[in-house]
Amino acid sequence: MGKSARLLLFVAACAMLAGCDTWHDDPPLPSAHEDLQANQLFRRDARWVGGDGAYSVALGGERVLWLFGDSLIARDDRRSRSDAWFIRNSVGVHHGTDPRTAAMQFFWGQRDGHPGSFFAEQGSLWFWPGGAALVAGPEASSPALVVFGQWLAQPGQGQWGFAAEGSAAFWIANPGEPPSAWQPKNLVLPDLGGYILGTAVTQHDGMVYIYGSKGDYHDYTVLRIPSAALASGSTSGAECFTGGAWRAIGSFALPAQPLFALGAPESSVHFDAGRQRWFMWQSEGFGATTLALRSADRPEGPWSQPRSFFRPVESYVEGAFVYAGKGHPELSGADLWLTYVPSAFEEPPKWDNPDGYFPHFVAGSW
Amino acid sequence: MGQSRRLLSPFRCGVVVIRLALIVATAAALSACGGAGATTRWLPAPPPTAESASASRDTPAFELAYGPRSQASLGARLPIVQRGRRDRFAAFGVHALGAFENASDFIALPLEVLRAVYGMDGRWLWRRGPDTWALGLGWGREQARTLGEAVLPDRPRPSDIAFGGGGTWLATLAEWQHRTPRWQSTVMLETRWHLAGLAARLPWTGPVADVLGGMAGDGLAWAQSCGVVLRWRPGATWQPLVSVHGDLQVPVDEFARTGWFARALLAASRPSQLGETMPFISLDAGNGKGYLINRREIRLSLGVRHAFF
Repeated sequence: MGKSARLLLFVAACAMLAGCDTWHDDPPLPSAHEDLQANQLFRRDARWVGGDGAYSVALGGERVLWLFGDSLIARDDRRSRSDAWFIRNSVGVHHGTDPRTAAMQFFWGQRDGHPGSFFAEQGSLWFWPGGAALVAGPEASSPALVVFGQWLAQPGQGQWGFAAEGSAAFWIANPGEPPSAWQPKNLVLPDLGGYILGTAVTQHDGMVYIYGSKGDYHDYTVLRIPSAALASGSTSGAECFTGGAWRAIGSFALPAQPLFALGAPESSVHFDAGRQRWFMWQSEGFGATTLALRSADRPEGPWSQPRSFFRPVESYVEGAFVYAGKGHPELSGADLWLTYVPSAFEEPPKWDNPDGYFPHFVAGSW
Repeated sequence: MGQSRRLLSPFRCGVVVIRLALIVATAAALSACGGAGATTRWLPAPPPTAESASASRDTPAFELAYGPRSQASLGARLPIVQRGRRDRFAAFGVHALGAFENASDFIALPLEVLRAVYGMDGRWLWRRGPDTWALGLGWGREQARTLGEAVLPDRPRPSDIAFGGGGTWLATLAEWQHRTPRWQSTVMLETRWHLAGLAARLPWTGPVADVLGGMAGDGLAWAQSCGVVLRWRPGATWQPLVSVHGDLQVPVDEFARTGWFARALLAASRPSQLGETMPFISLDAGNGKGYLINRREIRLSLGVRHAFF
C-alpha cells in the first residue's frame, strides 16, 4: 500500500470515527411519567392481587370497564399471592374517569366452588380478552358490549407453552348492569386466515374496527363491522382491509394481506383530536420494552413505524419482561393515560416483587 | 421531550453505509499483512498504541481509586497473535475488565455495583520513523450488575440511559503514537456502534432494532471517545505522564439524555518486567458508568494502577 493510499485510508477512518446520529423531523412525541397514585386503582381490592392485559372501554355514565388476562385472586383478605387462585381472565368496573380518584370493583367467575375465569373456559380452551366496543344500533334502546379476544390452549410446557386457537368474541346485552349480571354469548367472527382478532378495537363513522395479528412476527390486519350489526349480535357487513382496499368477507383470498409486520401482540387505537391523527399505542421490542406509538391518517393506515417515548422503570435492567402497553383515551386527569404490565421471564414469576404483575399507569402529556 | 435530539453538526453524519464500507476497507487492510518477510508471533507484547495509561475507565488494568467513593478494576489485555513485518503488522488480542464501584457506601472496598467489559480487537499498525499509526476493529460487550444484596442504586427517571449504558458493540479504532527518546504522545479515537443503534440506521434491520436492543441490553446507540496520553521519559525508572479522556454516550432511547464523561489523570509510571505501576491523581466529571451512568458528578480521587504487559 502506497503512502498516499495509507493517508487516504487514515483520513477516511478518522471521518468514520467522528460519530454519527440521525437528524429527523418526525412529529413530536408525548412526554410521560409513571403515576404512582393512579397505580393504586389496581391495588386496593381485598382479593384481586394482580393481572395483565388491561384493555379498557367506556361503558357510559362515567363507568369504565377493564378487561384483564391471567389474574390472581387471593384466598382471603391477607392478599397473599403465593397461594392465590390463578384464573385466565377477570374484569373490573370503576366509576369516575380519573384513575387517581376512581374506585374499582373487580369481578371473576366461580368454578368448582372457588374463583374461576369471568369468561369461562370451554373444555381445555381458555379466553384471553382483547379490546372491546360498546355498540348501539339505531333501534336499540340500550347499547350492547362486544368483547373480542382469543381462545388459547396449552400444547407445550411452561410459561411459553400456550398457543392461540382462534379468535373469539362475546356479546353482552346489558353492559349497563354490573358484570355479575352479564350473560356473555359467543359471537362467531369471520376467519381471516390465521389472524387473531381483538389486538385493538376502536370505532369510527358507525364502524367498529377490530385489529388482529398473526404469527410470531405479529403481522397486523384490520376488520370493520357496522356498529349496528354488532349491536344486534351479528357480523354482517364485515369488511377487511386487504390489498389496499376494503373488501367484503369472502371476496378475497385468505389470508388477508397485512397492514404491517412486527406489530405488538397487544395495542390500542384511537383518534387524537388534538393532533388530528390516529394513534396506536403499544409496547415496543421484546423483554425490556418501551412504550411507543404509531400514527396514521386513517384507521386502516398506512401506519408509521413505532417510535418509543417512555421506558418503564422495570425496563432499565437486562432480563426484564414488560409488555401489554396500551392507551386509555376514555380516562381523564391527564392528556393521556397509558398502562403496561411488568412481569418476569422466570418460572414461576417472581411474585415477591410487589410491583410486578399489576398494570402500571403512565401519564402522558403533549 | 418530543423534539429531535440536536447534536453539533460534526456529529450529524448518518451515512452509515459509507462507514460500513470503510470498516470493510479497514478489515481488508488488516488482512493485508502477509507477504515476503512476514512473521507470526504468538502472545506478543501489546500494540504500542494501546496505551495502558489511558484515562478511560474501560482501560483493562488493575486499579484502585478512592475519592469520594471507592472504585476498583480487575482487568488485563491479552495479545494473542501478531503477524507482519517490523514496520507493518496486524495484531489481534482480547481484553476483559471487571469494574467495581460503590454507589453510596464510603468504605474502602467497592462492593455495590459491577460493570463487566470484555471484547476483542484487531489492529493494523504501521511505523514510519518516530510515528506509529493504527486502525482497528473491535467487538465488545458491557454488562452492569448489582452485587450481593445491593439493589439498583438510583430509581430510573424518564430521561435516563437504560441498562447502565451497556450492550454489545462493534468498535472502530484509530490511534497515533509519536515517540522520541524523551517524550511519547499517543492519541486514541474509538467509536462504538451498539447493535440497536446500528440496526436502527440500516433499512433492512431497522424494524427489528428495538427487539435487538432489548435482547442485547443496549442502553446506548453509539459512543464516541477520544484520549491523549503524554509521557515524559527522563530515564528508565519513573515516567511522569498526563492523560486526558473524553467520551460522548448517545442513548438508544430518543427521549433519554445524552451522556458525557471527561477525565484528567496525572500519574508517575514505573515500568518493570511485570508491566507498569502508576500512582495517580484523577479529576473526572460527567456521567458515571454502569448503573451509575445517570449520575453526573465531579470527582477528585487518588489511586494506583498496574497494567501487565
